[in-house]
Amino acid sequence: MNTTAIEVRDLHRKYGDFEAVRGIGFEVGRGELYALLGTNGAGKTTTLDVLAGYAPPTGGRVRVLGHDPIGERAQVRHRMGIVLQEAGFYKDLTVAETVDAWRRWTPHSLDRREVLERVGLSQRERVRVSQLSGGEKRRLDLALAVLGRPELLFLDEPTTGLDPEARRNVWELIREMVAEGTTVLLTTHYLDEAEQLAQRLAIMHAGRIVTEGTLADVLGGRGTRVTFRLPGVLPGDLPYEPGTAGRSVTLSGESYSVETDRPQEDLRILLSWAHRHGRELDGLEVRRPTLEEIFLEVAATERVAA
Amino acid sequence: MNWLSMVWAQARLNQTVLLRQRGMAFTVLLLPLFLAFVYTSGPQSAGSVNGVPGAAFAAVGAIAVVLPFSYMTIATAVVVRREERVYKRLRGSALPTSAIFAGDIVHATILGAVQAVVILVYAIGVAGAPMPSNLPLLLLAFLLGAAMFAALAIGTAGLIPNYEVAQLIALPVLFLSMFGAGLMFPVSVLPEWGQRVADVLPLSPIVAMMRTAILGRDFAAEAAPVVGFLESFQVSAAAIGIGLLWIGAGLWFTRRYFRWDPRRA
Repeated sequence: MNTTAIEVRDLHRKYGDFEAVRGIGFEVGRGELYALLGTNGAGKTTTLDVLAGYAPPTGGRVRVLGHDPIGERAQVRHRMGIVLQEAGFYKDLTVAETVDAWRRWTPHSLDRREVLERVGLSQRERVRVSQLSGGEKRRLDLALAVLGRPELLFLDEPTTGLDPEARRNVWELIREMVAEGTTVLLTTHYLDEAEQLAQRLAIMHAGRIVTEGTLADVLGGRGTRVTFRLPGVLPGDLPYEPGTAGRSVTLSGESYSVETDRPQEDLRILLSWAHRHGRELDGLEVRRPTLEEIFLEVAATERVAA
Repeated sequence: MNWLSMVWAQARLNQTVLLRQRGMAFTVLLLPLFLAFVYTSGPQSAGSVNGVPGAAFAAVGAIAVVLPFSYMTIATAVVVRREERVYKRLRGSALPTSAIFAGDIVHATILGAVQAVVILVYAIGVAGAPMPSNLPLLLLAFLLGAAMFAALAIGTAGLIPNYEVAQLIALPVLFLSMFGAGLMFPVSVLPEWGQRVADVLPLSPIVAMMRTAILGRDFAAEAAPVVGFLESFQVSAAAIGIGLLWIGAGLWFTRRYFRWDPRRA
């Protein structure tokens, strides 16, 4: 069996004059969870639309489970599940009627009880879809997407608008699916979501992938940050030689941020300096960069380049 | 899971959804029957047309009233599903696109067929129409009409922005069809050019075929001579041609204007 679930090569997608995706490429292995991160308008949803077969590429090529998702739709449509940002339901049907209707044309479907149990909607079977909360609708979305035991699941911002508990439930469900061998392509603008779930990820900005790899790859090459507040202390008073390779010091207001490749050594220097001078390092924190920071950095770089 | 069972599942779902929308359900399920009844009991039904009792003549024409209602059912369903992004979800499921369309058409056609049978029984039992003299031609007329109004519904839905407008558009379609087919007043009161236009409006050829099929006469000819089985197909050739042209127009509109995504997107 082919080990690649999704293959994207030099994908371009234009809407009129606007090029929403400008030449991206990536691969997702079977059983992997891959996240596409980016702000609104980065091109994530467009990419997903092409992969799910809603829109043809205007350049390049994509393969989904080894097939062209539009030209060979019959080979793939029953093997994938899709959760879109805003797909509608028949509002007047109940949850049970909706699932039953979908089961009628979904091969090898789970039974209704099983799938509703899975997404935590068992108690809401008799409720009309129009009366469900936003979180419950999202869960019904997921129920319909996983109904046919898909090999591949597309999730377009699956937790947008959910409260924290509902988010954790959705994450749990996604983890279960991955554990059972389902391949998942997820788009999100929540960085913690990608950190929580993704084995590999790509950050998209303005239609391009700006960085891609495992979480460690993406975080790698970026130093650890030591942050603290020291009112009234000038950068020159700190025990760090200016212009040392592998370390940079930035001051914003009263907050210092030291990015370093040698966190242990630099921290020792800082702490003994503070001890000698009787200084209190307010709000001292040592941490790896977050995706958020990388994300902002990427966005800022792109803006300068553009 | 074969294609036909998917189409049937779609048709069933359409019916469930229709029954939940009370106003719409009332309109498309009962209004055609009501119209047919009123029409056959009105002043038009007095006297006779070329020797055929007026009530029977009118009742036979009234069978075709169900077709513009199929137009309403299909066009509204297409517009609502598109605007509420149900299409987006359906297309992402295991359903082939063709089964989505086919489900809509099958649903509206079955509804129309049941209504047509009810009106036909009424025409024969109450209005004094004879048993159909050419059943295959009657069937052909119905299917041709169903295909025509389905193609026009799917084709024009692309130009209709929302549910409210879909309801508005359905009315002139209904009136124009009934008017052209001479169901509101005799087309003969129109000037010459008006009669020519009325003859080619969508419902007119279907009504003409149905009258020939049931009453066994060619009402297009002077004094409506009685026609035999094969002859009734022959005299319906022009009507079949007009029907096919309208189907062609519907398909062209579908190609040109049909869209899966909401117009406001």
